[in-house]
Amino acid sequence: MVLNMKKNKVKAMKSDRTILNIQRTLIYILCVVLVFLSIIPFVIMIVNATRSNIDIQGGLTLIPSKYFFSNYANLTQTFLDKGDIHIFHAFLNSLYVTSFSVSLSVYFGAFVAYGFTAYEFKGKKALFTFVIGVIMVPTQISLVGFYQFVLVLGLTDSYIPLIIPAIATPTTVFFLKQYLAGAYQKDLIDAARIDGCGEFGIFHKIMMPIMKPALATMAILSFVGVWNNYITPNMLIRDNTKYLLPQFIALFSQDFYRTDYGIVYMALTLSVVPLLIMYACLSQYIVRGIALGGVKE
Amino acid sequence: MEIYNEETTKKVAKKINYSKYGYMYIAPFFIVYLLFNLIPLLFTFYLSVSDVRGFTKIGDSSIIGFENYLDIFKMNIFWEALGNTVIIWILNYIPQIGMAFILAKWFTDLRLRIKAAGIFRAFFYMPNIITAATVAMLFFSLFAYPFGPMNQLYGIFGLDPKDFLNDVWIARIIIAFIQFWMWYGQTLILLMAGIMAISPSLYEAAMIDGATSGQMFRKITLPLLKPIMLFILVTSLIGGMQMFDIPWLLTKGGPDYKTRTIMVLIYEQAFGRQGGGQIYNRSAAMSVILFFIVLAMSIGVAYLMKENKTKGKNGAKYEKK
Amino acid sequence: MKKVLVLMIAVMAVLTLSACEKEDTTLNVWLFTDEIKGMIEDYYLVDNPDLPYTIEISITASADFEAKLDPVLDSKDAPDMVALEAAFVSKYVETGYLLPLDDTTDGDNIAQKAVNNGVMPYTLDIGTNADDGVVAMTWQCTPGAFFYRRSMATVTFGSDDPADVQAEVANWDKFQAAATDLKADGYNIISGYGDLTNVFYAGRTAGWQVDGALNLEDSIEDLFILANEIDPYTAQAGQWSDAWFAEMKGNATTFGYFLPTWGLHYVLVPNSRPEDSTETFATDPATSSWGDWGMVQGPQAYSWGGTWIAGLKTTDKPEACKDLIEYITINQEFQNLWVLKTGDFVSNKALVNSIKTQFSMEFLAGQNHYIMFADFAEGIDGSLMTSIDGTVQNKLANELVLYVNSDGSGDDKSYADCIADFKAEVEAALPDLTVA
Repeated sequence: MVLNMKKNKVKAMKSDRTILNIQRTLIYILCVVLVFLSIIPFVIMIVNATRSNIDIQGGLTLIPSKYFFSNYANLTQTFLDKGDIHIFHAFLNSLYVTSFSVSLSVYFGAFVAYGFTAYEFKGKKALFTFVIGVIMVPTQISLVGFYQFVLVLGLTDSYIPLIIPAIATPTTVFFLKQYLAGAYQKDLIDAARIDGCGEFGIFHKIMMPIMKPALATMAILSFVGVWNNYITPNMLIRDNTKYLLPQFIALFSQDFYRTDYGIVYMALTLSVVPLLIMYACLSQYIVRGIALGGVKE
Repeated sequence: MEIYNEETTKKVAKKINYSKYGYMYIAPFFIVYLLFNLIPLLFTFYLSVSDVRGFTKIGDSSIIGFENYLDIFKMNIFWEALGNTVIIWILNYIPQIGMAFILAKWFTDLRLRIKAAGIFRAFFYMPNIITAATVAMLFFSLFAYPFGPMNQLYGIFGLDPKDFLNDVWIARIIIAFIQFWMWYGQTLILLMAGIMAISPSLYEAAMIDGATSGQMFRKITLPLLKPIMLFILVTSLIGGMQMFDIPWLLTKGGPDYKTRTIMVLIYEQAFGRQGGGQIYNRSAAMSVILFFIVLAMSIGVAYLMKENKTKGKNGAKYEKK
Repeated sequence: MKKVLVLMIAVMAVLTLSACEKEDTTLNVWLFTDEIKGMIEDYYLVDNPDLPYTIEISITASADFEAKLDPVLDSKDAPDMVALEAAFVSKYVETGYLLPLDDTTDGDNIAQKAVNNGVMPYTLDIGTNADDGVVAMTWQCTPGAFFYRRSMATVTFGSDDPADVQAEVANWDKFQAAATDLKADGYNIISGYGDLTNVFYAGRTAGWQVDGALNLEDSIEDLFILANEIDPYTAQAGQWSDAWFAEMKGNATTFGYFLPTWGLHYVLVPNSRPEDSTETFATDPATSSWGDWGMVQGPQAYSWGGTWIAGLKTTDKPEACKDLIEYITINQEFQNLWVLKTGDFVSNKALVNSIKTQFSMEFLAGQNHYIMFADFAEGIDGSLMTSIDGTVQNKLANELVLYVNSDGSGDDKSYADCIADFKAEVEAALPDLTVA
């Protein structure tokens, strides 16, 4: 009897495990399909960047061809012929704007977050609530007003209105404030004060190093945000030698530029690959940053 | 006594001193925010009741009242654009939250113990870091008519090439799919973080009480995920109502203006290509209306969720009894 | 970190300041292609090496040109000179922001010089407004033609002679009949119905805007019907699409293209050969259509495109603007060199007449395109051009696509629905226009 019961239990466990295994297999299959979905557009893109226009129109394949360099040469040549800029030039423009924005956003984000953490002052709570509140204000709503304001300042076609606003990035402040809530050590600060360290010295010499991991995470996230922004630069930047990369890529939305798909895929590839490489190296920071940003809310 | 007094004055002095530093630290943020966010917002409100359009500059403008708003309420185009935005957002949000939820449940299920969940998740999130402009042009190329890769695939099944982006519903679904494809990874990350933040002791206690994994999911995970679900819903709503890059670059709002989102219309009115733009005042008025729509939606969602939450709590209490 | 930041801000401040300081000694010119840039850099500056100012050229995409120019007009950020495309030249001519060119106060009436030189009158009409007179001028003239494949004409019509082919396509009815004949031999008369619109619009009796109201002529319905009926007889390729270009090559099945002067040199000639062909002209008829083309007027005289140049009233260097405009639009020595280099068709009749006999294009099997373009230019009606053309034609094209519905997905949109939506769109885009 007892033996029989045990046997039944084992059987039940076994069938349980079989169900679990089937379930697991199905989940893996679905996940692989989704991974496929995530990468296949990029695979087609990269492969087509190595094929000639005629081949691309001839059929679909995942086998690269030999037109990579001729596509690259055609890309730069046709754009120069049409009076537009070299994709590398747009890339550098984007790098310029993004590095300034990210530095400002992260530095001043830390600055403000530290101010909110280390000091007591009147209205602190209300001011911080304000910072959190404005995270939820849809930014594109004031696009037209922003444009008219920049027009009054006479700064259209300049990178300044793309860079300076980064000083006030509420999400960065919020995230770093959350981080400091755990990492801030009052004793350390007091000790530094006794050693005669000034208030700004404390921030730069002691707090900045402590915040490094969080700063890195925020730098990556704001890099992605600024690098990918299309609507604001497109609204402000006029001269095509000042185009940022998304603007350059958006040229292909005009038929006039889309005459050779080898060129189109090449340009897309050149704009995507650096991001993919960066992501491959830093994905864990990005994932962590997003997870933290959401949970603390 | 004397010493004590000295100390207090010192403390007071120090405190005043330090609070000064506090203001100095937060000043740059508030100055820049005022300059580049609040002033533009006020400008937008002003523009919406002004006559700034065409060659009229804001310096020589005057207030004309709510004429622009009255114009908009009579414009079918505006309400259609609003409808398009909502349709595309719903088409993207339901599968997005559904897929992310199922995956999050599986990836955090202790019995299933899915391996490499982190790697899968990293792949699912990947499209999100790619420039939306690039994604739009990539999908344009993939769905190009008649020679694009999707049409070549279509051809394998013996079907005639189709101008996918010129079909109202297919175009809307493609845009919704791109949004889904770019964002479900992020939603998954947030949901997983939310689930993993739930204290394991709750599950242990439930297991001792003999709860099944389904019951635990419904009674513990779901109610505790409410805040994060609210966060996801509201951010997605705010983002979705401002959808611009993909419809602007992929379909230019077509075919038949059926993928023209509200943001595309706002942009067109102010900065329209090939003429027809520079209607800054009406564009600003549309922005203001959108602002209040988004605000109302966010508050509404938050209110509904809160209502559900209390219901959930009552339910839990009832269960305990 | 802090030092880096201070440095960054300092660098930015310097960059901004230096950008401001340059203003006084530069002539700012805004262009939308690099064509005029070449004229300035390779000709004007070579002939005028000692200008007391530098010319700063910046290029703005033509689709965004108006959106970027309008807000800065009449402000300190305004350029000194602009190039204006046919699609929007009328708008700026009518605004009153452009520098009068027939002003006699400084004794330099360059508009009069142009007239004396025998400039094509319609180009001046387009650049003239009631208050300021002539404010924009052009060096070119852009009459359009119908280019056809001689080999296909021989098969279908039994002759590749331009006179015979013109007889086959002399009006829209004949054009449609020719489409049927060509289809019987496996040819498409044009690559897509989109090619028709521009030509068709040239046959209207008045422009899109008459006395501040939208002028929608009955003939537009004929255009819709024609486009719909001719669609099966085309290669169903959209204008400027990759398929559209592909149909220009040797092995293609498309009979003809409606293209203007610049279209011949910048579109048809370079695309008639395989992409990897490095020869000046290829002769393999399987891949190259070089030498297989003929040129006729087609059903309707028309013009397409063109670039006008103008100074702005706000400029501090009106003489410099006028000097450059005069050089580009009147200087025959320069124009002669320009024609020889690019094959461009100039608006100066005197020059055209003196050089037109020397051309013979191998590409067109020996036809003299210059003489023909000179003839076709006489048929152009400049008064049809209005300030709202770009927007209106764009909105109409959006409806035409749905009416014709080439790939048959869903239902065709009716003409009444198309026009209702078209009017709503035009009204939304152009608030100052009366739309009945």
